[in-house]
Amino acid sequence: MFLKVEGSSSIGWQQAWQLFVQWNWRSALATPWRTSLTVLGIALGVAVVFAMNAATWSAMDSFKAGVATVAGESNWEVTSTALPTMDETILSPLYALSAKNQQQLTVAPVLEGQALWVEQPTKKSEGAVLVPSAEVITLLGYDMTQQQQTLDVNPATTWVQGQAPTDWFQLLVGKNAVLVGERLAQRHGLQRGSTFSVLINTSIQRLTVAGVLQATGVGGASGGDCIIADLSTLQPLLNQPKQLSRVSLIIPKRLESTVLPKIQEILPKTMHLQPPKRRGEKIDQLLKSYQINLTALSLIALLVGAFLIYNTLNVVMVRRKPALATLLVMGTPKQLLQGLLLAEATLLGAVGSVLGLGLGFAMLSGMSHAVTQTLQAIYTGVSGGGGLTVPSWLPWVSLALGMMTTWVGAYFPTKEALNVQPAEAVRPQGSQLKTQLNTGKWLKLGVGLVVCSILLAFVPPVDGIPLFGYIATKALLLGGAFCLPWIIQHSMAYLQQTLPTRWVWLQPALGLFAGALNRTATACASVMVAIALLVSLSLLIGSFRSSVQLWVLQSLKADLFIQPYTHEMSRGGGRLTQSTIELLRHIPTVEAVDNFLELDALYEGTPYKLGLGRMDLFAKYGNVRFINGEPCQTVVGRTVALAATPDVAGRYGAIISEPFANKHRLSQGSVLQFPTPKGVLAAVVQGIYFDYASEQGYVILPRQLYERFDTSIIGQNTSASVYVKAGTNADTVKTAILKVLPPSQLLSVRTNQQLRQEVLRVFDQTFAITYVMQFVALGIALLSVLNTLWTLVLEAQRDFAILKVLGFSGLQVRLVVLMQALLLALFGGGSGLLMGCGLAVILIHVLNYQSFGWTVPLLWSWSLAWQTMLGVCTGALLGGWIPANLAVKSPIVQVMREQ
Amino acid sequence: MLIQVQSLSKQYQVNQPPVLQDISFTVPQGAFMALMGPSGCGKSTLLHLLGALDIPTSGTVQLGDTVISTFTAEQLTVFRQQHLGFVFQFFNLLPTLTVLENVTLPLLLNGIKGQTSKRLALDWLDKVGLSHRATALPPQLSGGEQQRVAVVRALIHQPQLVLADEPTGNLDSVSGQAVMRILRQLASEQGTTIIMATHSEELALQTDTILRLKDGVLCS
Repeated sequence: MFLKVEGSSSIGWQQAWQLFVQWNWRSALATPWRTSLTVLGIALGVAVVFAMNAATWSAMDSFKAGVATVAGESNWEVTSTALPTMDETILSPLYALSAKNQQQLTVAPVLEGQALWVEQPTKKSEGAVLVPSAEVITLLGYDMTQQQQTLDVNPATTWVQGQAPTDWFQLLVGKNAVLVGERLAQRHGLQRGSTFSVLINTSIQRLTVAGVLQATGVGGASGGDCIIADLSTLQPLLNQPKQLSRVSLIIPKRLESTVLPKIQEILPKTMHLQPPKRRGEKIDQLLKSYQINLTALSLIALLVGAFLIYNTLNVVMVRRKPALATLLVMGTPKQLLQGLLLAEATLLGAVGSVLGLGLGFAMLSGMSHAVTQTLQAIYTGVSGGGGLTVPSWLPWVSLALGMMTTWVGAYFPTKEALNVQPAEAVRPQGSQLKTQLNTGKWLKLGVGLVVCSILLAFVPPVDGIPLFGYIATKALLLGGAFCLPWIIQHSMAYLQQTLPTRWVWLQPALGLFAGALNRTATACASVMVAIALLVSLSLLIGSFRSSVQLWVLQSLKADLFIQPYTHEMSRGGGRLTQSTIELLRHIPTVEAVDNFLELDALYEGTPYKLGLGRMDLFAKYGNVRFINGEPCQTVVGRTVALAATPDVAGRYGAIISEPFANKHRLSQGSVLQFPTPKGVLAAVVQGIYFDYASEQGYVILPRQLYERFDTSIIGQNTSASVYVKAGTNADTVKTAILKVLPPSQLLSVRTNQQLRQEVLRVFDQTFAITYVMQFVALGIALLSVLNTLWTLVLEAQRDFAILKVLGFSGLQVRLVVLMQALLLALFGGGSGLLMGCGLAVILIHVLNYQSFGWTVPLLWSWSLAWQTMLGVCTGALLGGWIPANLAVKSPIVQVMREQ
Repeated sequence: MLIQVQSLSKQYQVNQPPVLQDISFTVPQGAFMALMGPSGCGKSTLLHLLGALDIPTSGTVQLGDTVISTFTAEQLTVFRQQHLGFVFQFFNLLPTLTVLENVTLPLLLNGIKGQTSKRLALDWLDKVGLSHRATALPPQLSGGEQQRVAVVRALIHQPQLVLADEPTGNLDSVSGQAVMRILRQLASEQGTTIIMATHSEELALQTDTILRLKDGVLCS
């Protein structure tokens, strides 16, 4: 008789689904805590990735949308090559050219500025001093005599129902008549005819609403937080007479070949013609580093999540091994079992990812605020204001990343399902699922990755993005993780041999720890990654903060700092009048006043800060640190001398900041060229100084020198540094200053100490967001430790029962488990510290340097090291308490009988 | 189906003595055979080899005219699905499945589903007096009840061969006897061959043939 073994072993979808529901689904529900831990781990990772990226995208989108919305249909624009504004005399030839082309060429001049909202006094508080809020509003000036052109440029512009201007003429001749954006109007209950106050430069201005624009077309600027006025109204308000930010143009395609060369001919060297999207691209480029930095860091949270999934499924494998083997004995195909486990992981991953997305949305509002503030703190001159605009693809990408993390983490444990032998069904439960790890092979791979990481760290950035630096961080972490099994194996072997006799009862802990190398090494790796992230970011922030503190201490030498609130809040607008400077100079207790002008300018198309100050005061009081170690007075002295007498080639002197030098690959002796209304100002770099104020970089030129080339800046100031006479108290002078300033002038007056505190406050705000990532990663790692200890105890139930039979007390069994928890913490934490240092070196000297261009000496912190180790060990011991209880309660009789 | 075992040996590690050495015997179709011997004599290993749960170092196990050691992985799976039933000492019921679901599992794997499998399962549970516990979960049953469910699960798909590894080892004598009775009765009804490993001389005497093992060698 023949045994018929025919047909396929595979079973239908319906049966597979039935098995999934009966076995996988119910098993997952039967262990709600473990299932919840896994879902939570994935959810946290996805939430961080989503919220972080959504917030960054939202902020960036808002910045870029501002450009696109205001630009409307214009396809070209004329802007200043170097400075934020330009002379409006360019309009006449452009209008003439338009007329010559039968008005087919649309010319729309625009002036942009910023204002701060001022709360209206209530009847009760009438007469009280008005204080501006932190609410920044974009000001846009158009030529309303040609209002039709404005609408042509922005055909999307529409009015809120019933809020269209009744009289356009009012906008031209009415006292401070303006149009307002819908969002601003809604927030403050403004409608046609309302009046409100804003702070522009240093004065509070009362404006009248002539109409309310919907958030489309020009009304969509800054998401509708905008005020639009005629140029004739806005130029005096901004104290920028005859100045324009740009001239928007609509040039029909067919005319481009003839008109563009003519415009080029008309333009002076200080102006250039470019498509409006170029401005957006510049902002995009500016923010890209920041975005990629956050994305790269948030992905580390997911990496820790992958370790958690790996460990959780390992627990699942241990718990269900008898069931797996039984199913195999009954003829369930191995592939089906692997598929069922993968499907279970997929379901957990999907639930975790969706939950994470919800959590991410909940976190988004707070995170968006933090990101926008950070961006505004880092990149002065950009202003957001748009609402939360999450790109439609981002939730899908976040979900996909969550699922990929799940699958990566699930792959090996589910593969282990294929190694289960049917014969294991007849062995007692609790026996170990040991996988022989070839630690030597992993060590080689790990060392190889670490070496790769070191080599990658030396590769220069790609298009300003430290792409290889990011890969280096991942390679380093993975390399470290792969080295761990070998390190643990050999350390355990050494410890087992050298353990003192009185500690011999700990021998089982070492044996169990080394025996489950697959699991212990993974748990250690997840702790390692989290600790490395925590330590590296802490070192980065600590080192950076220390550098900034030193820099502030050295460079802020004046006793008092004065600037318009508008400049302080929007970091772009706001001017101090020359009369204010003169008032300050005449205060008897004031020794000297350095009136400083900071302009957002462009160098070779890249934004930077042009600082124009009094070099005589810089030489006397300045104390910035130069990269080559030269004293400040020497470098400034040379610059002052060159300002008076240029070199034989007619070149002057300039001082530049380190980020500017790095961005443009400049060194001492390099020649810079600045187009000005009176020709090109050539300046030789006299020195490069350490600076942490702007990632875009600074160029410092003698103010008097620049005024000779561009008279339009005479009398313009953005801040004043006041040096008080010896023996005079700065607070007393501050009171005197506030007394002499006219009540209409609203200025921020800070003492040296207050400004230092403010700088550090802004610094801390900048890094606030990174703390979220640190704690999420640490949280996930501790979940991983808990899971691993659970697995180890489950696997070793037989061993614990034997130990108890041999006379181990409950306390000793508990200590054996806690010892394993401690080993996890020590290996994970120790390697995390080491990797954290390596990661910090890459973050500081590669990513930070290539992204932002500033040097930060790495400052090691012993307190960070011991606090981290203490925290990890405490966390692990607390996490190990429940598994330890489980081990203590290990049923001796049942387990022994099964043997 | 005739089971022929020829010169079967199993050695787990090269430096250690073989667990089974040169075992040869024949089991006629429908027979109930007991494998006896002290702990560590190789009973379980022999059961594993007979059920193709493990691979012999040398020798063959032949079911009918087919040598099972020549099966591919796919054929082994089909063989276990269709022709093998297994009763474990510790029952090995899936704890998240109800009694009825545990019993219908082999039918599910053999493509029998829905009402047909449910009706069949309830009939079988009725035979062992457990139809009233069909919706209970295994942990809610006594050891004897669990083993009766395990017996039904091993036989419901009418396999050619049932292997039982100490099926009463974890039960009191009354429950053990009940399980033995059911096992013998149900197997004889459908002509299934049963090979049972046991320590109990009393249980072994209830079978058709006794095979005694000592230190991996067949004694009788």
